This record gives sequence, structure tokens and C-alpha cells, in this order.
Amino acid sequence: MTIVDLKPGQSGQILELNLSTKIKNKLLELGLTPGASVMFVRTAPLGDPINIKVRGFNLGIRREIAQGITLK
Amino acid sequence: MGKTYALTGNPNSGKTTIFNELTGATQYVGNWSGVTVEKKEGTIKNSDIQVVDLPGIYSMSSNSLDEVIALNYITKDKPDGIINVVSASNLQRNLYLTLQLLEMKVPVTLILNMMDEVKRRKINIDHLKLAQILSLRIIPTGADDRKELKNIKDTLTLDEVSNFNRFSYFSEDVQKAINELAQKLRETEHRLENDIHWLALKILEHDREIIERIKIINLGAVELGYKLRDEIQKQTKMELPEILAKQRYDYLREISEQVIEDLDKSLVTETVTDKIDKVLTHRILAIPLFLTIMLMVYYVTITGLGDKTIAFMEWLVGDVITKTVIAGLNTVGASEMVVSLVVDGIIGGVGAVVVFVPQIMILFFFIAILEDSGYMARIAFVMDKIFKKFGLSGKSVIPMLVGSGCSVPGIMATRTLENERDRKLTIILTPFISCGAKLPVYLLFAAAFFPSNSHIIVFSLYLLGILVAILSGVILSKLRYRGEDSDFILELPPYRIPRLKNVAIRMWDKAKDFLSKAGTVIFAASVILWFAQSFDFSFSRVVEPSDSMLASFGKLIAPVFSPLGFGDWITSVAFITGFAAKEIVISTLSVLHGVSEGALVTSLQNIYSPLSAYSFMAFILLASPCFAAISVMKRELNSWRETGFAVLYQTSVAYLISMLIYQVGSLII
Repeated sequence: MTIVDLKPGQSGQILELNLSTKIKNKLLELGLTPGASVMFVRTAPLGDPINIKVRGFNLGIRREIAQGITLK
Repeated sequence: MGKTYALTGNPNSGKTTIFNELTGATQYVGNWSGVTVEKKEGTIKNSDIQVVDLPGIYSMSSNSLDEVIALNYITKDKPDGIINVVSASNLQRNLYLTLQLLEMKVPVTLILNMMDEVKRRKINIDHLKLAQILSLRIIPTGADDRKELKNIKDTLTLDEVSNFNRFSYFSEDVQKAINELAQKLRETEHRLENDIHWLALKILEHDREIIERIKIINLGAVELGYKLRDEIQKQTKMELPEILAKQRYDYLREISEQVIEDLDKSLVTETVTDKIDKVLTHRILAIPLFLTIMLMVYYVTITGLGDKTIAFMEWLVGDVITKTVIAGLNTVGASEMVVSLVVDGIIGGVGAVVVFVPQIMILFFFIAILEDSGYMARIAFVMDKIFKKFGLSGKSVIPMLVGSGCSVPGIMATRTLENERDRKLTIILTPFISCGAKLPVYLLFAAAFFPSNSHIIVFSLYLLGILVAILSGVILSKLRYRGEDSDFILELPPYRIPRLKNVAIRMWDKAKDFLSKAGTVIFAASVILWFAQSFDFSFSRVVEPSDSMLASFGKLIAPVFSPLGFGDWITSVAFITGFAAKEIVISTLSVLHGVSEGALVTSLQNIYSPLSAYSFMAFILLASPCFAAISVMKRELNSWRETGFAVLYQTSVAYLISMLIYQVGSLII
């Protein structure tokens, strides 16, 4: 299960990040660490990217990145 | 000499506001050593303490250009201390940078900003406790209360290095590795500029910049670092950057629980921002709202208000100043040649540009509001899917919108794009977005040739620029910038009411840029132009400009432009001078036609048809940007080859499209 499988308003806990080193490091710095809770807020009007909430702030990420973030 | 402090903080932490509060009117723009990237400095009011504004960053690493600039400044220039601006409304993530600063063992003073926002959300932050945990001095402040900020100089000069127990939150194996590696680094400590334990941590974290530096001094340490890193990674089955980030964040969460009442509730409670986003990023409303807002911005800038400021400035320059100067020169008995130089050359050239300064300020007023309010990030979010189709990221929207004011800050704004490919492409495409300096050219030509539908003509040019940028994106991403895909990771910051002071400072900065350009480049170009068109090659004064040395030169290159519909020497010269600054195109035309701006319309009507006028505008829009923009392109692309390619590409595209417009148009009409 990844972030994109959540419904708007639902939350999950990060298990791991299966992404390229560069993107992974960027997300880690922003607080998307294993164990952190993320909420799926909404999808952008054209279907991509998506808005998630982590550690109390909003972040826009592309679906393909969100698919690399697996949840517990 | 007074002491120097570096101002750091996350993007959207209110760092710029704090910088403006601290330094007020003393700030000035310089360059970073090594890279010529804009560097803002200032002096704290009523003191001799210097503050250097570092780029907004999320982390003290070397993954992006902004981060490298900050890292290099702190580790090499070694300021006396660091002022770290932290947004209280996003404490955990903002403290990540603070934690990394404390790991560096440098004196840190923390400004806990946005306390008003937190209070409004009914969140209680115990800043005294936070200060105690981090053993730091904390200055709480908010938009409604800047009292504490006034005493900052007393706090700063203490220069205390926090006795905070750094690394305590790392697991034992990590701590052991740091100590072992630090021991190895101790051999060469006298040649290392920074704290060895911190350097050890950075090697383990695989920080490129730091590893490059240490390799030369102590290769053994870097090798040992790799070995230690591999051992930990094998044991934990996690990569070290991930381990470190997780342990830091786990600790920060612990701290947050101690200083914020009911932390979990504060993290999920719906905020005003969430409510606004429901409308502004709404499935159906988002795009129409965006288009409406942008149309309004450009309408007000170009016609609503812009027209009136231009009319006023023309009156000021054309009537008041010119008449006063002529009268003055006549009283002192200046020769006809001096009067001609001053009135036709200098006032004609510089004045034609100065007239548009208020309009550029209006455009930057709106751009500053779009950025400071937080809406710009939403535009990027909403438009990303479209930009992705063209091989770009939604984040490219920001440089391009800023570029509609001026390509120079637009190109600089590409620094927030981490993806190298996205960044290069955006730098090359941003000049296609019509800048504020080109607008006067359209306004003049549209008024002369399309008086009844000048709005549509100007609008169509903006559209043409966007279209060419999009198509070029598709083509270049397929042909030249294959490989790495674009990506999109962008913070959607809380909506905030823009501070008038920040907006005013940005507007004034742009006006200053423009005026200083008018006073230097354009002044010089105007004098040279006047000289070149007043004399022939034997340096005797000519009666008709068409006998001048400038005309001879213009006539030489004019045939190149004939297929585009404007093969006369004056226009050809205007293109060349346009490289110095796009506004000079008008100055050139008015100087060479020997008329004031008002009468220029009639002169132009005599040499152009509406079709060739449109072709001319398209060429001005798309051809290589001005020198200032080219030099910024060079600096940001960091390659003459790439820059050369960009300029050649832009000019070729301009030539092709103008020719297409003129040749196909001639067949139809």
C-alpha cells in the first residue's frame, strides 16, 4: 500500500521510500521519514500532483513519487 | 569592524520579513564569492552588526545550489554567529535545520517567528522550555509584536556556542562511527577549517561538498568513513542519510511533544489555509480562478493603471523636463550641438525608458503579492500536470511568471528547481515569456498600427511567447535534454497577508535596477548612438542621419532582416542596440528618427505596414534577451556552451517565426 491508495482525509504511517537517492533525500529532509504519519489531502484539478500533509504542513508531490512511498 | 551574522531559515519562515525588520534601509545587494549570485546584506539598526541573508533552505546539505551557497558561507567565510529564523507554525520541520546548525557547533540565536499565527490557531508553544532543551537564546516574535526583536543585538553579541548535547539523539553505532572518524580526522585537524566531529558526520551522511574538500586533505578519513557507513548500513538495512534523518526527526517530535500542548491535535486541525485551498485548488474552480487572476494582473498593469502612469511620465519627461533643460541650456549659451546631444541623445534615449518605470513597478507589485501570499505555489501545484506534458515541472511556473516582469530575477528563481534538467530547460525558456522591458515596444507599435484593437495585439504577443516556450519545451526535452525525468516536490505554504513593507522593498529594488540601467547602459548607449548618427566616418557632422556612420553600418546588416519585412537601416540598428536592453529599441527608434516619443508613431507608420510591424514585435519578443539576462543565464547554467546554444536557439526561433508571419501574411493579405 502506498500514499495514492489512501482516500482524501485518510492518514497512514510511512514504511519506506522506494525512490531515487536524490528524491529520497529531499523527502527525508522534509520529514517524510519511516514512521512519520502522512495524510492524503486532495488531488490537483488535473489529477496530478497530489497534496499531502506531513508533520503539520502541506506538500505537493507527483503521483509517481507518492507511489514510491509505502505505508504500514 | 563590527561583527557579521548569517541569517538562515526555511523557505516560508518569514526570513525576508525579519531581514527587512532588522536592517531596514541599510540593505544592499552584493555577490557571493566564487559564484556571482545575488547576496543581500545589511546592518542592524543602531549598531555596527552586519547581517548576511542566506538563501532559504530546508537542510544544511549540498543537494541544491542554494544549500551549497549557505554551507560554503557558514563553513568558509565563518560568520561570528548565525541567526536562525524558525516558523512557530511549522516547528518540527523548521527545527530540522536548527538541529543541523547546532551539530556544526557554531553560535546560534533562534528567532521564533509567526507567533501571531500560532496564537490565532490557539496553539500554545512554550518557547522558554524550547530554549532550555536546545540551550539557545530564543527571541519569540510575530507580525503583531516585534518588541523582542529590538533587543537582538544584546543577545547576539554574547556569541555563545550552545552546550546542547549534540549527537545525543543518534543511535550508539552512529555516535561511535562519528567518534572513530573524528579521531582519524584529528591527524589533519590543523588543516581542516571546521569542527572535526561535524565533518565526520557529514562524511557519513555522504555530503558531496564536504567529501570533496576532505579528500584532498585526508583521503584516509574519507575511506574510513565509507567503511564505517557500509558497516552500519549492513547492520540496519537502511541507508545512512535515512537513519540520520529519522533519528533527528524522531528527536524533534519528542521535543515538540514537550513544548506544544496537544501536539497531535495541532497537526491535524483544519486551518484557514486548508479552507482557502478547498476553493483555490478546487477540482473545477482552480484553473478558471487562476486565469482570471492572471488576466486581471496583466490588465491592470498594461491598461488599467499602466496607461495612466505612462501618460503622466511622458508629460513629465517630454514637456516639463525637456523644456526646462532647453531653456537652461539656451540661457548658458550652449551650442546647437550640445543642445542636440542633451535633448535628442540623452533625454530622448534615457527618457524613453524612464517613462515605463512606474509600470514595471506595478507588475512587480503583483508578482510580489502572488509570491508572498502563498498563491504562487498553488499555481505551480495546479499547473504541474500541464507542464509535465511539456517536459517541465509545475515549479517552472514561478520563474516564468517572475520572468513576465523581468527575465533576470526569473532566471534566478530557477534555483528552487532541484532537478538539473528542469532547471536548464526553464532557464532557456523563461526569456520567451515577454518581459516588462519589451512591453513598451508592443504598446508603441500597437498604438501606431492597431489603434482600435491594441489590447488584442499585445495579448496575442504574450500568448505567442507562451506558445513558443511550450513547443520549445516539448522539442528540447525530446532532443537535447533527454534522460532524467522532471519531478515535483513543493511545499504549499500557509496563506499569509503580504507585508506592505516587503512588497514596497521589492518594487523599489526593481525601480532602482531599472533606473540604474537607464543611468548607465542606456545613457551610454544613447550618447554613442547620438554620436554615431550625427557623424560620418570622417568625423564631420552630417545633416541627415542617413549619411552617418551608423547608417552605413545599419545598411550593411539590413538585408538580413528583409525577409522579415523590415530591411531598413534604423530597424536593423535598433535590433543590435536592443541587446543592451530591450527598452533601448524605442530609444533608438526615437533618436534615429530624430523625433520625440509622441511623434514617433507617425514616423513608424511611414516605414512599416501593420504586417511588418507585427513581425517586428514577434522578433523583439522571441530573439535573444538583453545582455543582463544573458549574463545571468551564463551564471546559472554555468556554461558558455549552454548559454551560446540558448541565445542561438532563441534568435533562430525568432527569425523563423517572424519570417513565417511576414511571408505567410503577405500571401494572405
